[in-house]
Amino acid sequence: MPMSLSRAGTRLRRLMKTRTSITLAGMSLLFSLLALWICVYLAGADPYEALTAMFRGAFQGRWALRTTLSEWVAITLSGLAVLIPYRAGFFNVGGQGQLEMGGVAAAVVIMHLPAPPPLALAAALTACVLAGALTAGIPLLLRLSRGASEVTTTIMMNFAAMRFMYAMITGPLQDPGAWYGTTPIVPAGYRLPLFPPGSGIPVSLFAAVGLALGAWWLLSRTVFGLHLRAVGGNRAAAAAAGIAVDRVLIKAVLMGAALAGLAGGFQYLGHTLRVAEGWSKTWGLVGIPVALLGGSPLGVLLVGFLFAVLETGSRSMQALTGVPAALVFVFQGLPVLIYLALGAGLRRMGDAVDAK
Amino acid sequence: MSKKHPGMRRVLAGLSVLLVMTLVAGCPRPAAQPAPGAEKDPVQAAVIFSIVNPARAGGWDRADWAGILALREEFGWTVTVAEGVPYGQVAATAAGFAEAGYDIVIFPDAGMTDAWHEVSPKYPKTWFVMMSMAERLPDSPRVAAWSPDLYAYGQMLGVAAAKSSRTGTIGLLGGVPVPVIAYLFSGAVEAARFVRPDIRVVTNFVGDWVDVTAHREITALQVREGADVVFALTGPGILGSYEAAKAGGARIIGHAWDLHEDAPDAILTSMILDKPRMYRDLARQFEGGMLEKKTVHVGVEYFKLADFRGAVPQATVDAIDQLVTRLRAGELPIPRVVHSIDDLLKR
Amino acid sequence: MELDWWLDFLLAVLRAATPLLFCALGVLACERAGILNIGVEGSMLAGALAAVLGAVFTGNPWLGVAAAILTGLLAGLVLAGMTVYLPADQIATGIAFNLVSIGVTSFIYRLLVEGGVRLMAPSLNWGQAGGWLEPLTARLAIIPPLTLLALILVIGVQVLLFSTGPGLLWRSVGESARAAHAAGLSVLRVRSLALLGGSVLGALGGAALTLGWVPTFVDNMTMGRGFIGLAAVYFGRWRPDLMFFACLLFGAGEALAFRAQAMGAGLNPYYYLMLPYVLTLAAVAIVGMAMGPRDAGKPFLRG
Repeated sequence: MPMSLSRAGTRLRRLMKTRTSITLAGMSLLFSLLALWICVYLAGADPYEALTAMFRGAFQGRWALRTTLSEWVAITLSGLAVLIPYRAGFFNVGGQGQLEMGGVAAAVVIMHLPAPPPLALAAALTACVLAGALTAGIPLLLRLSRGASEVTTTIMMNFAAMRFMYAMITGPLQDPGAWYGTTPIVPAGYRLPLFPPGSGIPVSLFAAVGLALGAWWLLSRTVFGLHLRAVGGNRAAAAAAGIAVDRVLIKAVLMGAALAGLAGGFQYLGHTLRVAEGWSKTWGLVGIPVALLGGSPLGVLLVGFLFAVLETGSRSMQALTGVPAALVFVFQGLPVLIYLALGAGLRRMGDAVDAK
Repeated sequence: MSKKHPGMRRVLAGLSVLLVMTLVAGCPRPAAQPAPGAEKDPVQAAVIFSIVNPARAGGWDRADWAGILALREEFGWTVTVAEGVPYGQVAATAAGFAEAGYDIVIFPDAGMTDAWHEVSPKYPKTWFVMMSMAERLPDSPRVAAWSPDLYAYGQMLGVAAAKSSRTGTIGLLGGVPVPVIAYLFSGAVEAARFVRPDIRVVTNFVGDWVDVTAHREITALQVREGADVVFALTGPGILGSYEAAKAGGARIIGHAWDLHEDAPDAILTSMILDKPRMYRDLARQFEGGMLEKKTVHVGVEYFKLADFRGAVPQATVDAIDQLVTRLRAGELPIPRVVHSIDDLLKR
Repeated sequence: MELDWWLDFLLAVLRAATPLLFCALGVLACERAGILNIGVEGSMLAGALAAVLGAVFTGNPWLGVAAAILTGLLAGLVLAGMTVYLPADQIATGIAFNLVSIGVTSFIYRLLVEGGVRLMAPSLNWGQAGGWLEPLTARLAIIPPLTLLALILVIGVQVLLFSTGPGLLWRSVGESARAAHAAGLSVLRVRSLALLGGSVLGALGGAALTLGWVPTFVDNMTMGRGFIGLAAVYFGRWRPDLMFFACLLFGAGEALAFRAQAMGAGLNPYYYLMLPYVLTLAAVAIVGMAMGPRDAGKPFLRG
């Protein structure tokens, strides 16, 4: 066996482990952009014009910028809600439901708690965090006590939560002055401010960036992060090493779900100002590809930004060029598929070179 | 830190590249100016829809689409359509149009009231027009509303449904149980009872606007309860209702626009909300410089029934026509009672 | 409740359960070979669109079913390439595949609709099956063709899995891929065959949803049914016979949600609409600790 080949294999593998994941993510995004380009062309529009429209729709003007940044907050937090439990081996597909329940909980507090603004805001933010965590509690319990796959149960929770949200906004929480299904608008004093005032930057953005940095620190700098990785990697080995596997898993899942709930609260208190039909869009679901592509809290922040631009920009692309906005879904899934394929392919190549 | 973490550095580098891109793209650009000397620029209008594909929709949006075609074809306006815009993003979309120099931004949907109130004061040069129920005008010089009296619309519909039913049971089917539908259905229930005291009205809500299988199941249940005429106020999911009607020998009354061509053998008639006329009013007033800050109360003269195309005997059509004429003239003293959704759902 | 009501209810349950049965079988086929087929939802959506388009363009709904099968094969090839041969993470691949499927199907449908394609396809019933089948089909009229196919497949897979030689090999790949490999079996081939079959079944589920129920397409119309199928496999302890009852139960949840509203208690309909999902979760909670095939979800790397 020639030595150089074996070394090449090891190098390939190390390359993959350390830095390639970022390169791979970038490559898959580029490939997907190419695919998007082709789709736009198929739809009969000028791709360059479409992409320009997309960027303009995402950034031109204070409103657009504010929307893009708010989406960034929601998508980043939803991404973290997938990423942290994923490290411990729990695939939280339920971010959407956790986010919606967070919004509903915050709305209940704002509508029914007779408290001055700072207190009510604090209570609403606490409520949405708790609601998010509680929503993940059921799938978590079923996983621990019944071995039920969380992929199924969290999705069931998504549907149940969406129905529950609709029951609330067309029932007890319905705004008596509105013609459609919605909660009353958040009163002026109770909204999350912009910072600096009048800038178009929601204050929740600073919180989201701070939380992403915190998550990065937690995952890569603490014993808990180490345990998380151990539990996600090999449960039995982790247990044998004396790690309380269940407790680590529970913490990770509740932490993630709380972030999804917080995303709902942030959006309700600072951006949408109502919990209404379709208010939450697909933020929670977008968190999944964002977490898979991002790979780390900082990566989530980065990819989350790109996906937020796509979300807001795609509407303007549709309006100005007629390209169906449904293409966004292709762009959310395709890079992940390419990323996974490239990653697995590279790993295989490394193995093959090794084997020779 | 950076020594130990090449990955971290790359992330930061990537972030900064993206931020630079943001700044470059974010710089406001001058909107494309028409060549000087052009005779008259076409009026630039934008319409924002919350659903996708309004041209094929089963609800209000379909009538708005006809209005857009009128603006384009009869007045030569350039009309841009934004579709599938969630309510939370309507404000940003409308502001984007205003900043791009559009003359008029049209909201076809009462769910966009917040955005209307929020955006219009910030862009006093642009007209913001609500083509749906509006209770008060925003605080801006260039706003107007064409606000249909959907209770009266419901009354006309109730008359038609009650009179064309042979079984004596009619169904009212809503997509999502929202107040505007409860309001409209209330008019239908009261009118149906007024013209036919023995009528039985069964009301149901599917729970969303799009799920065709759910629409089929719940329409089939209404048919099983004896309804041979069902008024469906919903979205793309209405295709499922057509199927159920065909299978059960019932007929659907379309909403807002003549939907006959969508399912010739399932449609009895359609209640038409003449949105093209509302759009034409707007266009004429705008071009004549007469558009002003006001709410136009759109009443019975904008509502009519589509052709029955032989789906019921001529005598029934005549009877309905007669009642509708009296309704228009205000000669039918139908009580104006608004029911809650829960009350409507009770059997 | 009179007999008539029950008959109607039963038929509604069957209608709702048929797409679930196909999906659940598609998941079961794969899990028994050691593959988690999360992408079944995407296969189902693609199958739904293909079935409608096939039926619209040819005018024959049976050819629509054929189109769905072809699309299922295509989906299976992609998924098998990704999760068996590379192999990439099965859950992540499945979820990304589902997202792509939503985008691609909505995009294609939108382009075609703007090109003037009709919205409604002819629905599938025994009438179009042809003349010489007439005496047989007249008797079968009450059970729709795809429901019958689903029932036959459930029995077929049950017998194949538990009473035949190939079934034993199939299960052995899911239980211990390494042992199966040592015994000379091609694990990769069995797994890709299972994934091809599973995706075709998922696509047939889509055809059942459209041609067998409402013959038209709406964006993202499967609405998580593939995942209910996943839950049914779990609830049915990876056995086709028990899985069949699980699907009936979930179908009943769906049928009941609407009937409860029609009873007219005046409660907000959304509480009833939560029923199928709450029922699924409750079922999972009640069923107790269940263990699937031991190697399900684990990639197999050749030698």
